[in-house]
Amino acid sequence: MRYIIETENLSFRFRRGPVIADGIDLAVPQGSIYGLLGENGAGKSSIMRLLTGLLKPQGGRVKLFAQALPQGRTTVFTEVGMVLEHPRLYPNLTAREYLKVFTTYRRLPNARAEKVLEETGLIAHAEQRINTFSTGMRQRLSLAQALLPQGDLLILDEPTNGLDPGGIALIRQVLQRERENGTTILVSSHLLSELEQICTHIGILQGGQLLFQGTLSELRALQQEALHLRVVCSDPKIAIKLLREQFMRVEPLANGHLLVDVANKRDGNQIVDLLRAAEVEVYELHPVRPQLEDIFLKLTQS
Amino acid sequence: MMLLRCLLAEIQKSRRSMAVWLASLGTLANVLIFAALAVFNEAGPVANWIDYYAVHYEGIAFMMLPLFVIILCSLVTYPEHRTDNWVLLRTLPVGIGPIYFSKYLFMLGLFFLAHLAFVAGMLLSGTALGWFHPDFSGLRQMPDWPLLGQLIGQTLLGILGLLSLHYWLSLLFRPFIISLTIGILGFVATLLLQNDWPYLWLLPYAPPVEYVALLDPSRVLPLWHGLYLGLWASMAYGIIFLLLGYLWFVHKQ
Repeated sequence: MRYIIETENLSFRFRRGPVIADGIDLAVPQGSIYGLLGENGAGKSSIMRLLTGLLKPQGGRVKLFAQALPQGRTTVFTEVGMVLEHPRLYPNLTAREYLKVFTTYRRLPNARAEKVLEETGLIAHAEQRINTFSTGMRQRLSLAQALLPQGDLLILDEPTNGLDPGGIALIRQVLQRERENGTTILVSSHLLSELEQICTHIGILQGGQLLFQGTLSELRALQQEALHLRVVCSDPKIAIKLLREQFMRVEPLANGHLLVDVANKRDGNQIVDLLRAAEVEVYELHPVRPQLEDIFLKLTQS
Repeated sequence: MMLLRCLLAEIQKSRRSMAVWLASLGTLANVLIFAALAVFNEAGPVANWIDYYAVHYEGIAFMMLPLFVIILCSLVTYPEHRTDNWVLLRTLPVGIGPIYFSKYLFMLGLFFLAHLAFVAGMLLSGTALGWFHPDFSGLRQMPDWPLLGQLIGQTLLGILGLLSLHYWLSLLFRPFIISLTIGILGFVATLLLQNDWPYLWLLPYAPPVEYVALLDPSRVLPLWHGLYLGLWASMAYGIIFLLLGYLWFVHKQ
């Protein structure tokens, strides 16, 4: 398998700041949509800056298209489009003028600007000044700028920030279309629900480490392995105390129900036995499959 | 080629920008203000083109010119600071050098165009006064082109040091006000020292103050006059600060 982005033991921390990367081995396969998932402040934007040579790694290596950065920077970036978090653009220009600035930088024909304006649904606003744009329109214009080079790699840092559902759907469509055209996409987000709809691969980032990296189906396999049991009983307080001695996670829910992490369904018998021995009546016991969101929380919280 | 592309992009970016508004409206205001000053001159009507140049050039040299350069530098870099667009520029297939030097060339070009517009405005207003105002009949003669050429050339060379220094400062400090304050302090210090300190030409703010000496045709300036030394110093500062700014810019990126 060919990787468009590869890091080897990537390390970085800001002076007097948190660890951003602590030996990260990231591998973004060609043709994939790779979602980099992490909570706010997990360092996703900084990782993206490390990957594009905007921050210099303190350890390890970054390769883009099998070339080490920053030696091949200028050549490599003809193939890369990038959306930064919170794009603010040049407010004095219209959308069309803004894109033309970048076609000039990238030595592309002006027709390309028209094409991406159409693709991002901004053609009707092409002559509108950016200072009158909403956050969502700015985000779309920023995406249009990233689409200009028709490159092999798109790097998008929280591209759906501030977008309404229509805008999010449009971004999803654009990314799918780009992938079908052979573009590899690296996209960051703090929302798994958003990434699971578009990504083929997921990397979960926490505390400078990649807690999980693999395909979406591999992440779903983790979901299949994990199981919760919902327990409804006569004395939740005693039940929590007893069950916490035997099980990793026992979480009280609203209305006195309990959620217990178990290895398999047979652990249900053990729960019933334990509670009956303590004269706690068990009214209900049924399995609950965790959502991908729960898997993410479990990975990041452990 | 890459530098040319970046320069073209800078020009495209500057549409309706504050820098362009400053250059165009500031120039127009200067032309009108100094034409009015010539008309209401307490020392009597302006007799010839050299005096008319003097009203204009003395006026801009003692405040407008350095201030214009200082504010221009901040206005050209401010949009990149404000939007943190330096980061985006670094993800383009262009080198750091073309990005840095194209901004400098853009400012130099904008300054030069604004100055040419100022000179054109001065010639137009002088010609109009010569024909329509009885006290200005001396302006019906041909302008003193060699002196005007010298003034334009020396204005351009004289601001190189100032431009490079303030370009660097505007990259160094994000808040607009810091670069502006340093500039005003530097310029005020130059004005305070102008009659007492023989090495005034060493200051990058000095050339605009010094070249006013050209406007006294009765004086023959020796080659070691502060005006000429100041121009050499300005060119040297222009190169030194431009390179220092570049090294700092590369380091920061």
